[in-house]
Amino acid sequence: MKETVNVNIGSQAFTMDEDAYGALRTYLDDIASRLPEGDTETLDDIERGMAEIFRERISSPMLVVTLAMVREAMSRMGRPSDFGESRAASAEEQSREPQRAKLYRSRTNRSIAGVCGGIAAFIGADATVLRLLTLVMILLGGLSIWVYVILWIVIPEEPVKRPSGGNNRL
Amino acid sequence: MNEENVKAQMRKGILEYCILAILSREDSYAPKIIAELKQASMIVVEGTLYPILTRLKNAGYLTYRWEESPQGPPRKYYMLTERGAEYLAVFDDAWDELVEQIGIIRHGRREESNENEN
Repeated sequence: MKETVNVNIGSQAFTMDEDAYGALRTYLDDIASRLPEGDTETLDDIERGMAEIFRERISSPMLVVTLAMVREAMSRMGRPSDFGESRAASAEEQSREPQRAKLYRSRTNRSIAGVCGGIAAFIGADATVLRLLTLVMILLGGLSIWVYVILWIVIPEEPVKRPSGGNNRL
Repeated sequence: MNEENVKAQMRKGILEYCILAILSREDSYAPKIIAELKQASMIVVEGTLYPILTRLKNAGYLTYRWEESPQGPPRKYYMLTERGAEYLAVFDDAWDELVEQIGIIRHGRREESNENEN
């Protein structure tokens, strides 16, 4: 004995086993996350396609959609990966890019606290030139040494890169 | 890259063309288009068709109408727009040219093969 759920798939009413419903829900959600944002139309088409496959199997409205039928329909419709990359995964890929432009105190390129190395990386300048310039300005130009100390406090330290990014301590 | 992979990549590239070509013959609905593509071994799973149909429709090459079906719910009948027909003509030309060029590359210049025959 199993509990069943009444669902509307592509404007058709079906009675489904609870486990079959769960599998179908997960499947459709997975596909939805891979389609372009706001593309409900394709998802509706896919739902209608699934409904049509179930309809072929079910001769009477009294019959219940089982997990085996859902599995069969899924194998005919295709794996979620056939619909492309998940949006969440590709969004993560994109968000990794702007991190490079963030201002950090450099871990790899530092004489004192990595302030000049970090700023150099941020503006795309040479760290040594920037260091010399800073030194000259502190000695002759009246730039306060406290500016450096404040930057030291204000700018966060660069996060440790993940192991996949190579060992940057070496 | 194995043979299956090569075939899959090629099929993917010409799937849009095939869909437009099918619809240029007559208006059709998704399960029927799928059956035709399956017969030609162009697609393996049905799901891949739907995103392409939506993309072609949004690009203005296709449009659809709802039509009652003898059994079950109404069907979405896709048809080619004027723009779609133009696009298909471009595809046709490109295809013919491609086939000809590939033929030349694979078998050598046609003049040469004619000489051999003569």
